Amino acid sequence: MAGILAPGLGVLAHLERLENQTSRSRKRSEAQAQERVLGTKIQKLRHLRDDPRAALWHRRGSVKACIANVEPNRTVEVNEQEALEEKLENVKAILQAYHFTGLSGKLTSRGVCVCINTAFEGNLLDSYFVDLVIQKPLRIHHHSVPVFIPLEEIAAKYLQTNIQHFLFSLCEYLNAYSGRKYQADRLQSDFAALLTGPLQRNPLCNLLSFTYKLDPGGQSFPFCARLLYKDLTATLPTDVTVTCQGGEALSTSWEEQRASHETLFCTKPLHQVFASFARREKLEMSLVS
Amino acid sequence: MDAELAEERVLQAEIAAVRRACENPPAPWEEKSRVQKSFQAIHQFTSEGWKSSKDLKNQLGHLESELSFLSTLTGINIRNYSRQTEDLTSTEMAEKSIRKVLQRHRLSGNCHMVTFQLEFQILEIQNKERLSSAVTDLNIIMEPTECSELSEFVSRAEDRKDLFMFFRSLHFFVEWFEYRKRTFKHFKVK
Repeated sequence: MAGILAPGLGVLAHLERLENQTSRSRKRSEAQAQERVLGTKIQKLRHLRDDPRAALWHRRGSVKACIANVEPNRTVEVNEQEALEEKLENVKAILQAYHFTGLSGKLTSRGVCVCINTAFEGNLLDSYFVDLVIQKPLRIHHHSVPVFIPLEEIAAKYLQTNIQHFLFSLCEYLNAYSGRKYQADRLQSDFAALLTGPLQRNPLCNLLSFTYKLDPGGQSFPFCARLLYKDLTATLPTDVTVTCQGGEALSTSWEEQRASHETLFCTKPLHQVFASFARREKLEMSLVS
Repeated sequence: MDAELAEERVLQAEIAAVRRACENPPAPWEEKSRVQKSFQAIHQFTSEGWKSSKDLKNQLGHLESELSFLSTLTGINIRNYSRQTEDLTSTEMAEKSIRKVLQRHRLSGNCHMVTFQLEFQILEIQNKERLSSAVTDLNIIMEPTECSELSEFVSRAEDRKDLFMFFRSLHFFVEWFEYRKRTFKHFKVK
């Protein structure tokens, strides 16, 4: 099929390309280059218009087929280019994949910009960046770390002696903060029906205070919970207090419930504790009816 | 330049006309896409010629040093990565401006003498308020398989679907292992 086509067409295109590559084309301006391409295009289009069979071939075949008609060593050069392009795509993909390790980055003219990704129990959450300048001393050019994360403290401890340790430590704080924030957000959005008042939280999400009822419509007194996360690298609270708003001494069953809630909040993520409350309530409702 | 562009347009129109005269007239949309495809091929061919090998090599060199930096920083050497995307949005969802996409990822590499292969899925749901992204499935294959401490945190990571924890633990485990090996060697020599 290729033989039918005016063979000059494929060779012309390829030789044009090679001529431009090997000459000092880099020194020529872009505009000049574009003009030539356009000129070549027009020549080719003229051929296409004039030779109906060529038009037929072009419609069916691919441009690469005409390169195959050209001298073999020219083909090798094209293959090298293709191999390079493929390698480039592969490397770009792997660089993207580093996001899944939690830590990725890009080299900059000043040094490096590191990206910290956060997640909680498989939920992919916010990312933060730290732009480092490679100088003596190493310094942070700018960053997107929230102001309530002790960045300066962590930097003072590790940045100059061990970049890796600095970043891993920062990762810990950011992931924990992200996780606590996620739990509080989920409580507010998914279990608002069980809360009897607004969820009170600080920006660091390590001090939470809320009131809740197990049976939203019912007669029982609401519980009051206060969760303190002293360890900023943890996503579970260190201090939990649950009280009952009733004021008077609680019956034993209430006391048992209150104590079990305290344990639950200490050992399971906040929104999961509430999910279990909601399930229990649903179960009880179905038993009653 | 303008005159040439105009000429190009005229030529394209003439070619289209010649084609129509040549053959049994195909369906109008078919002909348009065929014309577009062959012109696209010519354009691509001529414009790609300008990306010289040297530019590509420079770019490759820069990215490879980025890769080398990340490998040193994380302690993890990723050798292969591929992904597929599947749009799971139903017409019902589309009506409510909800979009659901399932990504399948596969990556493999090593951390010193330990090699790993991960296959995981990420489900992305976009509604009017926010975009949620969650790992819905995580499978990890490790080599060597006999090490119990390794298998322990691997199964924990799989259960919790915690990618980051897996990579961090792997790095620390291997570092500790290498350190222990060096320490023993040191004493052995003595």
